Amino acid sequence: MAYRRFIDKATPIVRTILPAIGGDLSPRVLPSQAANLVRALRHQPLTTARDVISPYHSLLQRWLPSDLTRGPVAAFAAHAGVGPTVPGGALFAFWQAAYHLFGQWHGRGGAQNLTDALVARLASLGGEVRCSAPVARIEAPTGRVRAVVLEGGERIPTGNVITAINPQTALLHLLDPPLGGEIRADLAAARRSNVVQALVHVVTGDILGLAVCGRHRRRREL
Amino acid sequence: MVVGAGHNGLVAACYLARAGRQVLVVEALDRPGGGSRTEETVPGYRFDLHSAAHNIINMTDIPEDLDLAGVGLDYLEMDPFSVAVHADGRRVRFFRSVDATVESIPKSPPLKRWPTGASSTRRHR
Repeated sequence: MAYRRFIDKATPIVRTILPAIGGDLSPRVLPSQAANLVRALRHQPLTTARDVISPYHSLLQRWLPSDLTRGPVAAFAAHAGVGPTVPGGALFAFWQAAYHLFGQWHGRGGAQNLTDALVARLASLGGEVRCSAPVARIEAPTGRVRAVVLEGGERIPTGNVITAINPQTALLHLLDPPLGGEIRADLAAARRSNVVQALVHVVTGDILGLAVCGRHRRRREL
Repeated sequence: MVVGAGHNGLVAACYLARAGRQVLVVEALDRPGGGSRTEETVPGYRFDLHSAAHNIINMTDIPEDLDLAGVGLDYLEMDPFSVAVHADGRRVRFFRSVDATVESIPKSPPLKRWPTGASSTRRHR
Protein backbone atom coordinates (compact mmCIF):
# COMPACT_ATOMS: atom_id res chain seq x y z
CA MET A 1 0.00 0.00 0.00
CA ALA A 2 1.43 3.33 -1.07
CA TYR A 3 0.54 5.14 2.16
CA ARG A 4 2.31 2.55 4.31
CA ARG A 5 5.40 2.68 2.08
CA PHE A 6 5.41 6.47 2.39
CA ILE A 7 5.18 6.36 6.20
CA ASP A 8 7.88 3.67 6.35
CA LYS A 9 10.06 6.00 4.33
CA ALA A 10 9.21 9.07 6.39
CA THR A 11 9.58 7.58 9.89
CA PRO A 12 13.40 7.37 10.04
CA ILE A 13 13.64 10.83 8.50
CA VAL A 14 11.36 12.25 11.22
CA ARG A 15 13.31 10.39 13.91
CA THR A 16 16.49 11.99 12.56
CA ILE A 17 15.23 15.54 12.96
CA LEU A 18 13.30 15.03 16.24
CA PRO A 19 16.14 15.88 18.65
CA ALA A 20 16.17 19.39 17.23
CA ILE A 21 12.84 19.95 19.01
CA GLY A 22 14.58 19.90 22.34
CA GLY A 23 17.68 21.57 20.92
CA ASP A 24 19.30 18.25 21.69
CA LEU A 25 21.95 17.64 19.07
CA SER A 26 24.65 16.83 21.60
CA PRO A 27 27.32 14.17 20.97
CA ARG A 28 25.31 11.91 23.27
CA VAL A 29 22.55 11.50 20.68
CA LEU A 30 24.70 11.53 17.58
CA PRO A 31 25.21 7.75 17.35
CA SER A 32 21.47 7.07 17.35
CA GLN A 33 20.96 9.95 14.95
CA ALA A 34 23.52 8.47 12.59
CA ALA A 35 21.72 5.13 12.81
CA ASN A 36 18.42 6.79 11.91
CA LEU A 37 20.00 8.53 8.97
CA VAL A 38 21.50 5.27 7.79
CA ARG A 39 18.06 3.67 8.03
CA ALA A 40 16.59 6.58 6.08
CA LEU A 41 19.20 6.31 3.35
CA ARG A 42 19.75 2.54 3.32
CA HIS A 43 17.54 1.85 0.36
CA GLN A 44 18.28 3.81 -2.76
CA PRO A 45 20.29 6.58 -1.08
CA LEU A 46 20.25 8.81 -4.14
CA THR A 47 16.48 8.57 -4.39
CA THR A 48 16.14 9.38 -0.69
CA ALA A 49 18.44 12.37 -1.03
CA ARG A 50 16.36 13.59 -3.96
CA ASP A 51 13.16 13.04 -1.96
CA VAL A 52 14.41 15.06 1.00
CA ILE A 53 15.38 18.11 -1.04
CA SER A 54 12.24 17.96 -3.21
CA PRO A 55 9.26 20.25 -3.04
CA TYR A 56 6.37 18.40 -1.39
CA HIS A 57 4.23 18.52 -4.52
CA SER A 58 6.60 16.41 -6.60
CA LEU A 59 7.46 14.18 -3.63
CA LEU A 60 3.81 13.30 -3.08
CA GLN A 61 3.22 12.81 -6.79
CA ARG A 62 5.93 10.14 -6.70
CA TRP A 63 4.89 8.43 -3.45
CA LEU A 64 1.10 8.71 -3.25
CA PRO A 65 -0.58 8.02 -6.57
CA SER A 66 -4.10 8.25 -5.08
CA ASP A 67 -5.49 11.67 -4.23
CA LEU A 68 -7.34 9.98 -1.34
CA THR A 69 -4.11 10.22 0.65
CA ARG A 70 -2.03 12.67 -1.39
CA GLY A 71 -4.46 15.53 -0.83
CA PRO A 72 -4.70 15.19 2.95
CA VAL A 73 -0.94 14.78 3.39
CA ALA A 74 -0.36 17.84 1.19
CA ALA A 75 -2.84 19.79 3.32
CA PHE A 76 -0.83 19.04 6.45
CA ALA A 77 2.42 19.91 4.69
CA ALA A 78 0.89 23.25 3.68
CA HIS A 79 0.63 24.19 7.37
CA ALA A 80 4.36 24.84 7.29
CA GLY A 81 3.66 27.94 5.23
CA VAL A 82 5.89 26.83 2.38
CA GLY A 83 4.51 26.53 -1.13
CA PRO A 84 4.15 23.12 -2.77
CA THR A 85 6.93 23.81 -5.28
CA VAL A 86 9.58 25.15 -2.87
CA PRO A 87 12.68 22.90 -2.70
CA GLY A 88 13.10 21.26 0.71
CA GLY A 89 9.37 21.37 1.44
CA ALA A 90 9.33 17.56 1.28
CA LEU A 91 10.24 17.45 4.96
CA PHE A 92 6.87 18.94 5.85
CA ALA A 93 5.13 16.09 4.04
CA PHE A 94 7.42 13.52 5.69
CA TRP A 95 6.30 15.08 9.01
CA GLN A 96 3.08 13.08 8.53
CA ALA A 97 4.94 10.18 10.17
CA ALA A 98 5.22 12.21 13.39
CA TYR A 99 1.44 12.08 13.82
CA HIS A 100 1.58 8.30 13.70
CA LEU A 101 4.55 8.21 16.08
CA PHE A 102 3.19 10.64 18.67
CA GLY A 103 -0.50 11.18 17.91
CA GLN A 104 -2.27 14.52 17.95
CA TRP A 105 -3.18 16.05 21.30
CA HIS A 106 -5.73 18.73 22.15
CA GLY A 107 -6.12 20.49 25.48
CA ARG A 108 -9.44 19.85 27.20
CA GLY A 109 -11.52 22.93 26.48
CA GLY A 110 -9.05 24.14 23.88
CA ALA A 111 -5.55 25.55 23.62
CA GLN A 112 -6.33 27.90 26.52
CA ASN A 113 -5.93 24.90 28.83
CA LEU A 114 -2.14 25.03 28.36
CA THR A 115 -1.99 28.78 29.00
CA ASP A 116 -4.12 28.55 32.13
CA ALA A 117 -1.95 25.76 33.51
CA LEU A 118 1.29 27.64 32.79
CA VAL A 119 -0.04 30.82 34.43
CA ALA A 120 -1.10 28.80 37.49
CA ARG A 121 2.27 27.04 37.69
CA LEU A 122 4.15 30.32 37.34
CA ALA A 123 2.10 31.85 40.15
CA SER A 124 2.81 28.84 42.37
CA LEU A 125 6.53 29.36 41.75
CA GLY A 126 6.33 33.04 42.71
CA GLY A 127 6.39 34.55 39.21
CA GLU A 128 4.13 37.34 38.03
CA VAL A 129 2.31 38.11 34.75
CA ARG A 130 1.23 41.65 33.88
CA CYS A 131 -1.19 42.00 30.97
CA SER A 132 -2.06 45.15 29.01
CA ALA A 133 1.59 46.10 29.46
CA PRO A 134 3.01 46.66 25.96
CA VAL A 135 6.75 47.25 25.84
CA ALA A 136 7.98 50.47 24.21
CA ARG A 137 11.70 49.71 24.36
CA ILE A 138 14.37 47.56 25.93
CA GLU A 139 17.20 49.80 27.07
CA ALA A 140 20.65 48.39 26.39
CA PRO A 141 22.86 51.47 26.02
CA THR A 142 26.16 49.66 26.53
CA GLY A 143 25.25 46.29 25.05
CA ARG A 144 23.84 45.11 28.39
CA VAL A 145 20.15 45.34 29.19
CA ARG A 146 19.43 47.97 31.82
CA ALA A 147 15.65 48.37 31.84
CA VAL A 148 12.37 47.70 30.08
CA VAL A 149 10.19 50.74 29.39
CA LEU A 150 6.45 50.20 28.96
CA GLU A 151 4.36 52.21 26.51
CA GLY A 152 2.61 53.81 29.49
CA GLY A 153 5.96 55.30 30.51
CA GLU A 154 6.80 53.01 33.42
CA ARG A 155 10.50 52.06 33.51
CA ILE A 156 11.33 48.69 35.08
CA PRO A 157 15.03 48.18 35.84
CA THR A 158 16.32 44.68 35.02
CA GLY A 159 19.59 43.08 34.09
CA ASN A 160 18.14 40.26 31.99
CA VAL A 161 15.37 40.10 29.41
CA ILE A 162 14.02 37.12 27.50
CA THR A 163 11.87 38.02 24.54
CA ALA A 164 9.32 35.42 23.52
CA ILE A 165 7.88 37.41 20.63
CA ASN A 166 8.73 37.92 16.98
CA PRO A 167 12.54 38.36 17.05
CA GLN A 168 12.30 41.04 14.38
CA THR A 169 10.08 43.12 16.69
CA ALA A 170 12.27 42.41 19.70
CA LEU A 171 15.68 43.05 18.21
CA LEU A 172 14.99 45.57 15.46
CA HIS A 173 12.22 47.66 17.03
CA LEU A 174 12.19 47.26 20.83
CA LEU A 175 15.90 46.88 21.51
CA ASP A 176 17.44 50.32 22.03
CA PRO A 177 19.83 50.70 20.32
CA PRO A 178 18.68 48.02 17.83
CA LEU A 179 20.86 45.33 16.30
CA GLY A 180 23.07 46.64 13.55
CA GLY A 181 25.26 45.54 10.69
CA GLU A 182 25.10 42.24 8.90
CA ILE A 183 23.09 40.52 11.63
CA ARG A 184 20.43 43.18 11.32
CA ALA A 185 20.23 42.63 7.57
CA ASP A 186 19.97 38.86 8.01
CA LEU A 187 17.22 39.16 10.61
CA ALA A 188 15.31 41.78 8.63
CA ALA A 189 15.32 39.46 5.61
CA ALA A 190 14.13 36.42 7.57
CA ARG A 191 10.64 35.06 6.95
CA ARG A 192 8.31 34.01 9.72
CA SER A 193 6.83 30.57 9.75
CA ASN A 194 5.51 27.96 12.10
CA VAL A 195 7.26 25.77 14.57
CA VAL A 196 7.49 22.67 12.42
CA GLN A 197 9.28 24.66 9.79
CA ALA A 198 11.53 26.27 12.38
CA LEU A 199 12.77 22.98 13.68
CA VAL A 200 13.46 21.74 10.18
CA HIS A 201 15.40 24.90 9.50
CA VAL A 202 17.63 24.13 12.46
CA VAL A 203 18.70 20.93 10.79
CA THR A 204 18.63 21.80 7.14
CA GLY A 205 19.04 25.56 6.93
CA ASP A 206 22.56 25.56 5.60
CA ILE A 207 21.90 22.83 3.07
CA LEU A 208 18.69 24.18 1.64
CA GLY A 209 19.24 27.89 1.97
CA LEU A 210 16.07 28.19 4.06
CA ALA A 211 17.77 29.51 7.18
CA VAL A 212 15.67 31.61 9.52
CA CYS A 213 18.37 34.15 10.22
CA GLY A 214 21.12 33.54 7.73
CA ARG A 215 23.87 31.19 8.70
CA HIS A 216 23.91 29.01 11.81
CA ARG A 217 26.74 30.97 13.32
CA ARG A 218 24.64 34.10 13.35
CA ARG A 219 21.57 32.35 14.67
CA ARG A 220 23.56 31.18 17.67
CA GLU A 221 24.71 34.73 18.25
CA LEU A 222 21.10 35.89 18.22
CA MET B 1 11.92 39.92 32.72
CA VAL B 2 10.13 38.03 30.00
CA VAL B 3 8.47 39.93 27.15
CA GLY B 4 5.43 38.07 25.82
CA ALA B 5 3.09 35.77 27.79
CA GLY B 6 2.61 33.20 25.06
CA HIS B 7 3.36 29.58 25.89
CA ASN B 8 7.06 30.02 25.12
CA GLY B 9 7.44 33.02 27.41
CA LEU B 10 5.44 31.33 30.17
CA VAL B 11 7.47 28.12 29.98
CA ALA B 12 10.71 30.13 30.17
CA ALA B 13 9.31 32.11 33.11
CA CYS B 14 8.33 28.93 34.97
CA TYR B 15 11.83 27.49 34.66
CA LEU B 16 13.43 30.76 35.74
CA ALA B 17 11.09 31.04 38.73
CA ARG B 18 11.78 27.45 39.67
CA ALA B 19 15.50 28.23 39.54
CA GLY B 20 14.92 30.91 42.15
CA ARG B 21 14.84 33.96 39.91
CA GLN B 22 12.44 36.82 40.47
CA VAL B 23 10.38 36.77 37.26
CA LEU B 24 8.02 39.32 35.75
CA VAL B 25 6.28 38.53 32.45
CA VAL B 26 4.85 41.52 30.55
CA GLU B 27 2.17 41.00 27.92
CA ALA B 28 0.84 43.58 25.45
CA LEU B 29 -2.66 42.08 25.21
CA ASP B 30 -5.21 42.09 28.01
CA ARG B 31 -4.78 38.35 28.63
CA PRO B 32 -2.00 35.80 28.45
CA GLY B 33 -1.63 32.97 25.98
CA GLY B 34 -0.40 34.45 22.70
CA GLY B 35 -0.94 31.74 20.09
CA SER B 36 -2.43 29.38 22.67
CA ARG B 37 -5.77 31.02 23.44
CA THR B 38 -9.40 29.93 23.24
CA GLU B 39 -12.15 32.52 23.07
CA GLU B 40 -15.90 32.74 22.63
CA THR B 41 -15.70 34.40 19.20
CA VAL B 42 -19.29 33.39 18.43
CA PRO B 43 -21.76 33.59 21.32
CA GLY B 44 -21.97 30.17 22.91
CA TYR B 45 -19.02 28.72 20.99
CA ARG B 46 -15.38 28.75 22.00
CA PHE B 47 -12.70 28.58 19.33
CA ASP B 48 -8.93 28.20 19.43
CA LEU B 49 -7.57 31.44 17.96
CA HIS B 50 -4.39 29.86 16.60
CA SER B 51 -2.91 26.60 17.83
CA ALA B 52 -5.23 23.64 18.29
CA ALA B 53 -3.26 20.40 18.26
CA HIS B 54 -0.39 20.53 20.77
CA ASN B 55 1.85 17.85 19.37
CA ILE B 56 5.36 19.09 19.78
CA ILE B 57 5.09 20.01 23.47
CA ASN B 58 3.94 16.44 23.99
CA MET B 59 7.18 15.23 22.42
CA THR B 60 9.04 17.02 25.22
CA ASP B 61 9.11 16.38 28.97
CA ILE B 62 7.97 19.95 29.78
CA PRO B 63 4.38 19.14 30.89
CA GLU B 64 5.64 16.44 33.24
CA ASP B 65 8.68 18.38 34.39
CA LEU B 66 6.53 21.36 35.41
CA ASP B 67 3.72 19.09 36.68
CA LEU B 68 1.22 20.97 34.56
CA ALA B 69 -1.36 18.22 35.10
CA GLY B 70 -1.21 19.19 38.76
CA VAL B 71 -2.52 22.66 37.85
CA GLY B 72 -5.24 21.52 35.46
CA LEU B 73 -3.59 20.63 32.14
CA ASP B 74 -5.41 17.74 30.52
CA TYR B 75 -4.56 16.58 27.00
CA LEU B 76 -6.86 14.38 24.98
CA GLU B 77 -5.56 12.34 22.09
CA MET B 78 -7.53 12.72 18.87
CA ASP B 79 -7.65 9.31 17.24
CA PRO B 80 -8.32 9.43 14.37
CA PHE B 81 -6.36 12.66 14.29
CA SER B 82 -7.88 13.68 10.97
CA VAL B 83 -10.64 12.66 8.61
CA ALA B 84 -10.54 13.55 4.93
CA VAL B 85 -13.91 13.66 3.18
CA HIS B 86 -13.49 13.72 -0.58
CA ALA B 87 -15.81 15.30 -3.10
CA ASP B 88 -17.12 11.90 -4.18
CA GLY B 89 -18.04 11.00 -0.61
CA ARG B 90 -15.14 8.63 0.04
CA ARG B 91 -13.41 9.10 3.39
CA VAL B 92 -10.00 8.37 4.81
CA ARG B 93 -9.55 8.29 8.57
CA PHE B 94 -6.01 8.98 9.74
CA PHE B 95 -5.50 7.00 12.93
CA ARG B 96 -2.43 6.87 15.17
CA SER B 97 -2.09 3.32 13.87
CA VAL B 98 -0.80 3.14 10.32
CA ASP B 99 -2.54 -0.23 9.93
CA ALA B 100 -5.91 1.26 10.91
CA THR B 101 -5.31 4.20 8.57
CA VAL B 102 -4.50 1.95 5.63
CA GLU B 103 -7.57 -0.14 6.47
CA SER B 104 -9.75 2.97 6.23
CA ILE B 105 -8.59 3.90 2.72
CA PRO B 106 -11.39 2.96 0.31
CA LYS B 107 -10.34 0.21 -2.08
CA SER B 108 -13.16 0.65 -4.56
CA PRO B 109 -14.36 3.54 -6.71
CA PRO B 110 -17.09 5.77 -5.28
CA LEU B 111 -20.64 4.43 -5.40
CA LYS B 112 -22.35 7.80 -5.64
CA ARG B 113 -21.48 11.42 -6.23
CA TRP B 114 -21.48 13.85 -3.34
CA PRO B 115 -24.61 15.91 -3.92
CA THR B 116 -23.31 19.44 -3.45
CA GLY B 117 -19.90 19.30 -5.04
CA ALA B 118 -18.31 19.89 -1.65
CA SER B 119 -14.53 19.85 -1.74
CA SER B 120 -12.19 17.99 0.57
CA THR B 121 -12.10 19.35 4.05
CA ARG B 122 -9.51 18.97 6.72
CA ARG B 123 -9.35 19.67 10.36
CA HIS B 124 -6.85 22.46 10.97
CA ARG B 125 -4.07 22.00 13.41
